[in-house]
Amino acid sequence: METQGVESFAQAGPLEGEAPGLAGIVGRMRLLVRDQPVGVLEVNNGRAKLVPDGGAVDVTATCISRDVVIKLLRGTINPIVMALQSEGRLQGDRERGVKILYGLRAGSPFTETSFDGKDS
Amino acid sequence: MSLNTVSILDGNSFVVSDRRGDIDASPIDTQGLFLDDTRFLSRWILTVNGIRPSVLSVDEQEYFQVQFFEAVTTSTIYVDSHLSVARKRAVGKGFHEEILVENHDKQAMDLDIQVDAAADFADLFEVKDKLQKKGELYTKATSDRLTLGYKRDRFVRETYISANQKGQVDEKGFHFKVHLPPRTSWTVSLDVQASNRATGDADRRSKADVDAWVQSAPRLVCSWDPLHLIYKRSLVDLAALRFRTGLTGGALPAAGLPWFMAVFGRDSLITSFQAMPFAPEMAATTLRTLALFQARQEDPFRDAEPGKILHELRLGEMTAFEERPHSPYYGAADATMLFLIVLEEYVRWTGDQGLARELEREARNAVAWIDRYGDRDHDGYVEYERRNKETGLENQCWKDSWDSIAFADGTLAPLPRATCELQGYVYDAKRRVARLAREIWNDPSWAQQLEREAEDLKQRFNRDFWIPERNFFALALDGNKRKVDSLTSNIGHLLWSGIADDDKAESCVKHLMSDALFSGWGVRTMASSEGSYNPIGYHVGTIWPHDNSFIAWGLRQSGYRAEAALISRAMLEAADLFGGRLPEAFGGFPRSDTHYPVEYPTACSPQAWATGAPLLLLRTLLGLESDGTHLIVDPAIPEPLGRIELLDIPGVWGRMDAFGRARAAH
Repeated sequence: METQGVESFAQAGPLEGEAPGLAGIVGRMRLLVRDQPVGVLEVNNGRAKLVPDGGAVDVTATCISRDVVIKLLRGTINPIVMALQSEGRLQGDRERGVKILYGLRAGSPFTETSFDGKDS
Repeated sequence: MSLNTVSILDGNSFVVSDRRGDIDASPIDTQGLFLDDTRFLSRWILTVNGIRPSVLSVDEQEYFQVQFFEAVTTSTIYVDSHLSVARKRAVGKGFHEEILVENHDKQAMDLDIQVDAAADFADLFEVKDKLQKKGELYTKATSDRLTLGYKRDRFVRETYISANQKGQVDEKGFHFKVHLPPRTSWTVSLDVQASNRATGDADRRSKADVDAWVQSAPRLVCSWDPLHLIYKRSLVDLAALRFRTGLTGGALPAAGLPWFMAVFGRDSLITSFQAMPFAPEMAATTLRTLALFQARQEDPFRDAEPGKILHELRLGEMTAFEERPHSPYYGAADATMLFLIVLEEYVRWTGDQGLARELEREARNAVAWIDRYGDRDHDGYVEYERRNKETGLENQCWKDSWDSIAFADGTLAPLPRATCELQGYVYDAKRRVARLAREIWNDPSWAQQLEREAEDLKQRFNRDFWIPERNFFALALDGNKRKVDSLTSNIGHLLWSGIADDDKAESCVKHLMSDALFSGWGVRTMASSEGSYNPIGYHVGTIWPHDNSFIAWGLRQSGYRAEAALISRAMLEAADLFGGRLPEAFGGFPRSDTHYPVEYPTACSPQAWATGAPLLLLRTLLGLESDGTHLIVDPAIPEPLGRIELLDIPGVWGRMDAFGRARAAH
């Protein structure tokens, strides 16, 4: 389980793209691996953008590992399963958080993204 | 629920015990402390000097609180006991129990008081399907606390038990040695806490909370006394079944105790509809919650398709490990239409256009699902067939048992099945959405299109589903497009939706009120004339109160006032004989054969849509309707029910009163 040396996903600059499942949703979700910030997901009506940590957010997603964050961003993890297995949890505006996670499952702009080259 | 069990509940946390207050669960029964679909306590047995006290009485004070009165007897009933026990229990996220032992003798007593505790952490699916657990159970005892735990990978659930009296704690439970002087008592308080960090804290209820809920509902004044109890019972049971997900604020109705203390699309929507004139805020939470989980993608394991409204959301271990598809599961063909129907009903009743605007996208997605995925073979009708062949539901209409959709000769209908009420719901949903599109979403051309589609559906339906030789609508079209020719209660739902042509509706009404369908207590799910009929068959002969409430409402809307009143009266008389609480279902035996409606052995009680049935029946009797601005009252009350007043009905008008009294037939 990875807890050390977590780097921002957006270090090399913002990652962004279309996410049709996020149409009608606006908000900022902070991403943590345990207590380490790895970035903020900005959602704006069908677009998602990953930016460095900072600024006010609507909801925080705390995951147990970098892999879980990547699955979350790629929409490959079911939010209910994630919560029941204690792999991640939402704090703050959880309703918006769930909308964002389900929206990413309908089509994520990060499915092909190589996050700092660490994921396979 | 068995008559030998006592249940208290609070949202999706509930305790089922025997009448002593003990829990002694076998792997396949439903005794225990449950939270989030997991049994956190499967054994909880009190002994005094090795004897399990005998029950004297049970005082079910509130839905979340109960008191057991017991005596410690050693031999026969002819020997008076000098030792009594009172156990007072309240459920929250776990439960709190106070045990009071009283010595009524002139002699002192030395007592060994033991409380045995254990937990199997069974998922409700494991209980239902008799499955073995895959993780490890463990127990930790310290001087003041017993921890019962279960671990499978990262899935950890624990129960913590502590006492306010010093005693011995070991892995089997708590042991107290008590010297009790003459005419004195001894008390211990035990706290049982269920820990599920995955889903956060459950809220605790109080009597004040229940009282506030009941007082916020309209006040009933009536001349038929049992109706007071039935009405209050319905409100209190609805309060008990309120379920907070912690995601959307507010509470929606869980489906029922013990198997269905979870979010269900169909059940929550139907109950919200029934409760509209009484607690419309429940509908708003239901709609928001279901919109949140509206499917966004195709997922055969979960029977999900974009725009579909969920069937069932579960939080237990098998869901966590995706051994069951309930995260959430979408195997309901009707919930998506019911979502649209309840949305329009809610907006018209409350004037809350904000929610309609908030959920416009979800409503459009739901309509798109009907046309693209609901009508899977593009024949113009919604039909269902599960994509998850292993753990999905075979029947995805409200009659979801395996044998419910059968021909008159008893042969099961091949899949996919297009049941008739689904088509009625589509018709109704499209007409209602058309109104929202025209009046709120400013999209008159879409409104026109939806109305055209609804009218076209009505014409085709009256042609394709009608069985001229039997004069009623087919239960379904089967996978080969043959008419499934059983006479069932489903035709009553066609009156509610308005899809039946007037002349065909008249024929259906005659069937609904015939001896074959109407038992005298209510309309059977299947007529006694049909091949599959069984008066104690789950969906093939029993009587379902919620079904009857919608049939009565449909009759009323179609202008059959006397027939609506007759069914309403019969159902309320049945409710009276059930102590004010209608069960999920009861036997379809003729009323002429039984002075009481016959109980169905495994019926859920309380069950949300049975709880909501008296509310919709009251609406039917008073003829309550909203035109979007005013409350319309048009009573049709049968003689024995006398006078009914419903005061402070909430709606777009603020609060209004409705009055009705029976009139002699002309």
